[in-house]
Amino acid sequence: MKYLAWLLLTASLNVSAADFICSGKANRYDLTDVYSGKPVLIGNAFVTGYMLPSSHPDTIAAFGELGLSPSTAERIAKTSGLVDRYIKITTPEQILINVEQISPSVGYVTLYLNGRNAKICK
Amino acid sequence: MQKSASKALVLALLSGSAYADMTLEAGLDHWKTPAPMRYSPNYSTPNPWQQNNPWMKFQGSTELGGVKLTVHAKHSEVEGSRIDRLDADYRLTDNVGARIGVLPYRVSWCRTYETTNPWIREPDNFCSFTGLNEISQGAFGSQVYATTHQGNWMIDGMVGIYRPMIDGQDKKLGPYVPVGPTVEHKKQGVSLNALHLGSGTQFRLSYLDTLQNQDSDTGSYQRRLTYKTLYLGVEGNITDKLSYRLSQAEYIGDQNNPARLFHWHGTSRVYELGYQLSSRDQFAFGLSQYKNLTNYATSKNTQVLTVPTKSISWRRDYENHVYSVVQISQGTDTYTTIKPETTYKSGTSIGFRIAKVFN
Repeated sequence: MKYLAWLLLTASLNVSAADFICSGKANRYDLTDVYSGKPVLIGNAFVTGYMLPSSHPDTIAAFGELGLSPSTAERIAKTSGLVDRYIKITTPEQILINVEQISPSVGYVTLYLNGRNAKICK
Repeated sequence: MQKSASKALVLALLSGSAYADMTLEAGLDHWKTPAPMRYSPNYSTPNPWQQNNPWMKFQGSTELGGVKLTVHAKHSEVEGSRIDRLDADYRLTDNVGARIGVLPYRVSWCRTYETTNPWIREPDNFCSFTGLNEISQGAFGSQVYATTHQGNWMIDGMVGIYRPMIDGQDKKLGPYVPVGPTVEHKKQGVSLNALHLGSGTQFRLSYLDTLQNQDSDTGSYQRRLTYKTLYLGVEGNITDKLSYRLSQAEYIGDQNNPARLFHWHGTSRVYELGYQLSSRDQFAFGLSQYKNLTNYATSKNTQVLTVPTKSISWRRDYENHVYSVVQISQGTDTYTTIKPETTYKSGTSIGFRIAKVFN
């Protein structure tokens, strides 16, 4: 029911592009580096980039805006890589919660409500 | 790390709150299998085979003062328990780092801990069959890695040395059934990975060198093995929805005890296509060919084993990170002994998985 309400609200707002969200001291200038697999160190912690699977419409919109390839980012996130990257694949239900809980981190959502710990990236 | 792995896994889960980032995946696999044949899911399993196999995998990591601590562990009723990773990773610079602890060899692209895996059982026998999947595992050791960017390519390199006896991985002896306690076990390897950041095309080349010695329980026989593991892979996208992966893994080894000299060469070739129909549905097609030749110094004959397999799977993702997979794999098992006598088996396995990812 909650999901249906979310879908109706999303449709009524006619949201088509994803908003990037940041927590901690991460900002929008970190997005390209993080989703390209480059380590971005803020203080003592690396910025984690949360993403939805490469086929998800939000991912296609968000990565299109950054000029990056979603399938490349998904390959970078794999655990079989030689180097651990700071990209994690999550779900639409979890991405906002992940970005709020892990600081500093970045993500993207199609519906952002004010009053959360994760802010629209500046 | 198999010793007390169940206990360690439970402890890892109980202390999970200490980790900054955790993923737990749990599910149930159901298989309808033919009579056991190489390498159907019910062939030579560590624990007694059962059609319904509950399993779980845990990944956790946290950072303490610039050091990343990571644990990967899994348990299944049929395969048993195992900690595949328990290490500290320190980045010396943005592009160079080192790890120490129980480490995966990172030779192959096996998808053991990938939550987007389209397969229940990967087509590559070097990833899925317990008797051959050493390259998908790991042991106590140390690794140094580095990254460089050349144009639009991101190139990673890694060297590692391993002492599997430290974490108790002394029971298994290469692809062979153990004859007794292992007395020496050393590995060292090097891997290169190149990823094109624009297209997502990726290459992997890995080499792992192993020395394993084992004495029989009665002391009448000493097995002295040296073998090399090679892995070459390429993957990429043909279109946004259609992806491919080609790989070849090889075991090339010698039993050096003059009492019973032999040489073996096992090769696993895999051709895969993935089709992402929508954000919820993905299909995978796989052709694999495993071949092993064993030559005995005292005989002019050769043992030949050939196992080709065709697999297809459909994964559907639902709300709240629940997903299901249906997989059908059809294979044959042709084995010619040194006599020579040839046996032939074929069969089809049908599997169903339901699972959920918690993160």
